[in-house]
Amino acid sequence: MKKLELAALLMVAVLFVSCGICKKRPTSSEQITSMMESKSLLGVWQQAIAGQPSIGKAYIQKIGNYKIMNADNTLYTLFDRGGSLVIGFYGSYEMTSDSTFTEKIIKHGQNPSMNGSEDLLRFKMIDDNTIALQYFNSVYKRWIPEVWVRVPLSGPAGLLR
Amino acid sequence: MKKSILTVALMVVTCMAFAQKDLVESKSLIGIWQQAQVNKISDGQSKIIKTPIYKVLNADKTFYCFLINNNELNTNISHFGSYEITSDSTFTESVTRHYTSPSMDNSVSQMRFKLLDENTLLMQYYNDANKVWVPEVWLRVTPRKPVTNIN
Repeated sequence: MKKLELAALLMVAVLFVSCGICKKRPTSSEQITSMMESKSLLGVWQQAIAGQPSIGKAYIQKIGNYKIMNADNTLYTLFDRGGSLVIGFYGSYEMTSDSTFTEKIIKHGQNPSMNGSEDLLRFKMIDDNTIALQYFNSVYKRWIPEVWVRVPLSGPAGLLR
Repeated sequence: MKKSILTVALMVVTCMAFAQKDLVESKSLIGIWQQAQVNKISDGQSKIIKTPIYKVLNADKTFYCFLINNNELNTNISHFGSYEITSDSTFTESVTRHYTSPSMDNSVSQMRFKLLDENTLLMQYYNDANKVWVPEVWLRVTPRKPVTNIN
């Protein structure tokens, strides 16, 4: 009986810790503020192409791919298709070191064979709002670089209420 | 005991996966929405035109809006905050920061909503200045097969 009670108590304790009830949970407002004002991987990212024109300075051109990395370790991608966004894939991510993380795809819209797959990615914060990512292409056996820039908090006056 | 801990851990991971599924495969107010305009054309017909304005209503009761300048693909987050569903046809939006209209920082807006179908949302917000409810139409952003891949 005592063993059963102890087991039940331990289970409740684990459940409380897992749910974050034992510590003060951030409010919804605090949660979204920390995501929006993040200086880490957390946030809303837009993919860019970095180029070096033959004459002049290097440039970054934004393209219509977005990656949203939420505070609860979930993520999803959005793609611009003909002026409207569609959802690319969704899943979760986990930091594995200060320069690597894994992306676990729950459902991939374009390529269902990637459902349930897990990719290791390398990253480096170039500055607070720019990340250099690399994912491993298992077909070509090499790391493919990507540049992502943080979607800024601003807005032209009068366009939105 | 190990089995119990594993069960609890599995529950937590499952909850996380479902939270994401809630957003992406939701059939309720939760979801990623694109604003649309309904333009009346001749013979009583109307035409829906999508705008580059998006609203993300997360399962954790947070939200944000962003706008894409389609010419240069410049994207801005215009405002963010939290929301609370107050009935089956109303909710409140508490704006934490509003970058387009800073006077709306820390403001609360009363909203009415009606799901016309799973992917079409009719929303109304109250315009205090003009003392009228202003209608908006939003279309759900859904998973679709992209043409090309980035990853």
